Amino acid sequence: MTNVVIDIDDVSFNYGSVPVLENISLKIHEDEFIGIIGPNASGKSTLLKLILGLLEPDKGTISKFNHDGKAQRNHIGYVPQHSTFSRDFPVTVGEVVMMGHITASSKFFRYSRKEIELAKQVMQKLEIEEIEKRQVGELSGGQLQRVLIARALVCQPEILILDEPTANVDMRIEEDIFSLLKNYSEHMTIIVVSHDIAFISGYVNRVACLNRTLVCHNTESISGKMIEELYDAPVKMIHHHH
Amino acid sequence: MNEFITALTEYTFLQNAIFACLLASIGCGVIGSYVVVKQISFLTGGIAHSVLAGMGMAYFYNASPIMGAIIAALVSSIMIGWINLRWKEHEDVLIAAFWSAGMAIGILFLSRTPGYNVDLMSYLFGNILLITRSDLSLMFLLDIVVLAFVFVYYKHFLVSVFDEEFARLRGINTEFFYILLLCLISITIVILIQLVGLIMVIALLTLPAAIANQYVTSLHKMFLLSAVICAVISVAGVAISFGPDLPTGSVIVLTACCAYFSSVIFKQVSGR
Repeated sequence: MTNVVIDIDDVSFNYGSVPVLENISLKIHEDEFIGIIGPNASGKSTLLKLILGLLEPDKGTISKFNHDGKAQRNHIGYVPQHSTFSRDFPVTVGEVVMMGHITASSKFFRYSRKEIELAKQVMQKLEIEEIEKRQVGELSGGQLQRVLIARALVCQPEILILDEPTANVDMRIEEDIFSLLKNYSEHMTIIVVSHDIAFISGYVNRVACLNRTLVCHNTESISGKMIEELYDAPVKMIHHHH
Repeated sequence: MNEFITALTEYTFLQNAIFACLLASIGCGVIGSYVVVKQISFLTGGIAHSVLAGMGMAYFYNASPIMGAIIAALVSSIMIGWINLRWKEHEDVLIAAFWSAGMAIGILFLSRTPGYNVDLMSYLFGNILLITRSDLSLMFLLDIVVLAFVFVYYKHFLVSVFDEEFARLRGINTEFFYILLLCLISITIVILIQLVGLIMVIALLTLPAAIANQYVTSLHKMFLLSAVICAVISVAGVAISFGPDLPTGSVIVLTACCAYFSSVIFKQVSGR
């Protein structure tokens, strides 16, 4: 955990006149597994979109680097919180996963053998290879989440960013998804946004608490008092041991 | 029916009409699928109606109305697309404005053009039986243009239409492909105007693809199936209208509506 891969420096962002983020500074290191938590409307998703470059900060800078320390943009895989597509969109699981290979210079219908092979491996790891031919609209929440994670992994990212990856799935699948991410985090930087601090603290190296401004901690040092400050209400702490 | 088949072997205008149906079905199947999955049928209707402005001007200046239609369709789709990207929250109002302004400009120019033009009625409501060899060549050419773009940029269109945010993250210029898609839609509108007229064009760009969408799991299969459905519907429309001498465009549109509702009911009854 030496190289900084994302350097967020004094970033502020407003939607119109409403301040969403104020003076955020955060360095994220190579192969770190970091959780960003905070109440609803605390700016978590906005911070992710700024990191992804989908939004531009009103103040401050966000720099991204690859493992050589060079500035880079496109080695980020993203798993969105809400899938915006309509349920009857005619596209199969396999086709969605393959979208991870599409770049600005792609042409025609076909994919190379290497691209197909990589997608197969990722689908096997995520245990979605049996549903490859299914239409995405027929999937359960947990299956869809795995498909979107697979698509992000097919991009071969150095940084993987997930926005509430377990918001629409039950507890057992939530555990599955996080142990999977834990495995990937050994050779990949992972940023996960969640509202569920008690759960993610068992997996991540570090938690950043966000409520328009940012306080950063190691997981060990999170106390009930800090969470009370963050959520503005008493919170029951549950300790996980993994 | 027999009467129709006998006539088909005898009359070139009927053969031309059938060729026109088949050529139109190619564009209709491919581009109609995008209109349906991207849910922009109202926008497509807006572009179709604004075409009248170009036709009206072409009549007034004694130029080729179909060229006027192509230019007007391209101009209005680029303008609608460009404004829409910057002013998203009022999309429906914007479309209504283009829709009615296009018709109004067209009618103003026509009112100043001496004489009443029968051709104009055929562009408004379609007259497939008047289609000539040169019309067919133009339809063929426009089909090639549409297919070439879709063939080369299939992946870009797929990912932009399916998940725009993800496409942007992959470095794809989604705004460019949105406007390019609207331009391909406008070209297809011009192809279809020859069949059913600009007022009813929206039926052929949505209903066959919407039927196909109920049976396929992939976009490229939807292209093929909706092209076949469009061909069957339009040829059937020509055949049905021929005997009793009904307006062909209207019969094609009503056939498409019947097919769509039958398919919806069939799907409801049989379950997914």
